[in-house]
Amino acid sequence: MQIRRFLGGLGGVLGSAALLFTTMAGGAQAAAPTANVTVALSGDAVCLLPYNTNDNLSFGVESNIYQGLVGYNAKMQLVGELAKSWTVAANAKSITFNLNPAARFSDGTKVTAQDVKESFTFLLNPKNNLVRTALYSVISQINVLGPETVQFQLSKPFGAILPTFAHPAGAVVEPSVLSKGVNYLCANPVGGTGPFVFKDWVQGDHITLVRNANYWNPANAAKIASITYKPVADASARIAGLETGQFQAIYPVPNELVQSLKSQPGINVQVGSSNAAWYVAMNTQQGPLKNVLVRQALNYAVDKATFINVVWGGYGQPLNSPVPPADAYAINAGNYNYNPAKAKQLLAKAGYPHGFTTVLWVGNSTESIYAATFIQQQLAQVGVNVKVEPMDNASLDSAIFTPTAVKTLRMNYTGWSASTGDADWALRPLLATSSWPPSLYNLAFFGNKQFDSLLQQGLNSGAPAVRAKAYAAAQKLAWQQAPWIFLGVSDNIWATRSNVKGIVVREDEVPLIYGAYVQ
Amino acid sequence: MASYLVRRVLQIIPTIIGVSILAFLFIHAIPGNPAIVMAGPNASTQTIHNLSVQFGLDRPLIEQYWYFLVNAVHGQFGTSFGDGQPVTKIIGYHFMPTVELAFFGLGLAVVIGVGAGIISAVRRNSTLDYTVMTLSMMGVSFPAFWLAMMLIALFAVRLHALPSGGDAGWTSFILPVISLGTSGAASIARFTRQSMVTTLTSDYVRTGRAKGVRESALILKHAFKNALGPIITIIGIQFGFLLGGAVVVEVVYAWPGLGNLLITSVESRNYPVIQTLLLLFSLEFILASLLVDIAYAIVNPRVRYD
Repeated sequence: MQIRRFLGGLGGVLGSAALLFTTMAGGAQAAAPTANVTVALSGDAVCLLPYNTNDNLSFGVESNIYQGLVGYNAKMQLVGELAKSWTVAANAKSITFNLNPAARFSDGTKVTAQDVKESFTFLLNPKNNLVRTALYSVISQINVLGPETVQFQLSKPFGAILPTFAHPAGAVVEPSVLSKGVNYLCANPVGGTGPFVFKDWVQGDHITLVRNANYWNPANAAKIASITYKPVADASARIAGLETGQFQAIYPVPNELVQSLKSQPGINVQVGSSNAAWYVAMNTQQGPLKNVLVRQALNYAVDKATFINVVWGGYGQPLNSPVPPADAYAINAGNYNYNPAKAKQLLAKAGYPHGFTTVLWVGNSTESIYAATFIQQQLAQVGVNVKVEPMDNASLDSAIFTPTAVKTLRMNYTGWSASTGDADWALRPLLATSSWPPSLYNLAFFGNKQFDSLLQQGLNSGAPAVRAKAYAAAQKLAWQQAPWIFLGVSDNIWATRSNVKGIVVREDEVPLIYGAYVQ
Repeated sequence: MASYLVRRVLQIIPTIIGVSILAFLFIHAIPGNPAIVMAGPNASTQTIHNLSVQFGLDRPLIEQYWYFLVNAVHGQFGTSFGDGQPVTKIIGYHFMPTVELAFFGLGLAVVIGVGAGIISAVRRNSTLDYTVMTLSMMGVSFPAFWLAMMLIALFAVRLHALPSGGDAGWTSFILPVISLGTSGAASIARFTRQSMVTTLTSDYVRTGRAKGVRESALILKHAFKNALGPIITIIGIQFGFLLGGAVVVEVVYAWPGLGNLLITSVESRNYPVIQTLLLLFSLEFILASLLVDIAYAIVNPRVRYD
């Protein structure tokens, strides 16, 4: 009896020791995390398949579930995700990725080069009507060179190919789920490789993601059990929810409410720089705005520092180039210091001593209208009479993306953030001749052959030195030609409960929750 | 009565068709192309064109309307633009939250409004009456979002007594229901007082009082029952409005109801959802008005429908 009990006890001790040993040997993780983080954003996601996504909110949700071959970390540095190394050909006509052999989909199957090929083939297939096909349309062929080696051949030299793969739309989706179709995947984002997996989405109410128990990279595994996203359109309702503790994180925080929020105990307000450039695009093909002197005059007429202080509450940086400083190859291209006298001089020289009348289109958010009114007042000081026309987003899009916009558009207050973090995507869609609406977003209808050729030089080579030289010249040219009134680079403002850490809004305005942990 | 009801129900069909045509034309008249909204600034013109074709937006309006009508009759209300989910599923998610809010909000409004109205009428021209009517005027005049935010600021943020929004269990109902109930109560109170004053000053009530009928019986059994006509009507109208989703209250409290859905759908020009919602709201209003007529006939047996 006693021997049995002794043996039983010994067995118990040995068993516990073994258990303890394996738990400790199993890595730094103790018990699985149990915390849930609820994040309130300004709206609901639209579609959760990265291939069919346009908005940063949906990209933010997807960043927990999907990964690309390469990606941007929280500091907007390009890092390998599913790929551990890569080579861009010297002629910039192909790129080869070597996959990380540890990479796994959420169901535990290995990520192979064949999977990558099938995934991107789905993205490139025009029959799927995906909104991001155009971003990757330079890919002409995908070759599997080995079980973990995949090569993309391009139809023409494209020096910006690496940042394009880092774009959130360049995710790898498990091929077996692709057959379920775009509509299914929009609402059920499965087949990812990220630290979280999709649980459910009740449109208009919440999205829930849970920790991926099979996640392949222990270095950045989830430190919480689940994330819940709530759409809360009203900013004060978001703030109230943070103050009561219903939400652990909110984004965005309107700049005029930062001070009162900072004074609340238990709340941490964070400000980060972005790569969003804000400007007034001027139609260089119409009326007085055809004249470069007029456009430069308008730049001298607006006090940019005061704009940042008044409209953004000080939460912003100056914009000294069409490319914001956070993007690769950005330079300081010049200064249009506030000088209304010089503005009037230039206007007179251009033949408009008494100014002129024009129209400014703008979205109908409070901040947009505030900004437009500020610009209207500034330009009135030099005799330029601006009529502000606010429109809701859908109306504005329809007014812009039509072949007649070149005749009807005069000025438009807007912003742009290059999700590839590269000068090419900060310049080409906005200022290249091929980007006139309805193709892309060149609202200034800027058509400068020298500028176009500089952009092409930047794309023709993968060598950073060559690209840097081309983009520096392009930025100086665009600055001097002033197709925009260059305003500023906005800051991102978000807030969390003080005990919730690791949440960042990346420079491209995508909220990243996957690093969150609760103290 | 039965034949009247049958006729009323049959009348719903041409009314709904008429509403659906108007709603369809109205929505398509608003500037804004959903294909462009979906495609975004980075898509090619080819994608915009393909999306237009996929959703039938390039077809003539009559053809689009015809497909909508034929599908609707079969219970298919299309797929939501953007997330590709069936419209019935999306509306299904948002339906019960709005119905629950409407039910409890109206309930509170009726209890407070009718009670206050009766008391005001009985004690008319007293200080109590003036107080109640002034409060009722304030309730009607206060902007709904202001009252909602004040309630959140006090009870949720300052006192931490109640949640500030969303649907975290039964406590989440309290503030939104109070917000809705107060404005509803205000108008119901005024109508009740008005109607009660008319009946309380009528001959048969004075006769009853002279004959020694108990005051409470006079007020509740005789005067109130006869005053019910306009009161039922206003309650019915309120119910119809609330079923359409009290948009402002839903946005402030992040309540996942039909009002919120309508706003986001209009912003993104989500035609299938907007059309179906407008049809749903009209149907709800028509049914509410039918219920009002039935209730009126029950309360007042002298009313004959033929």
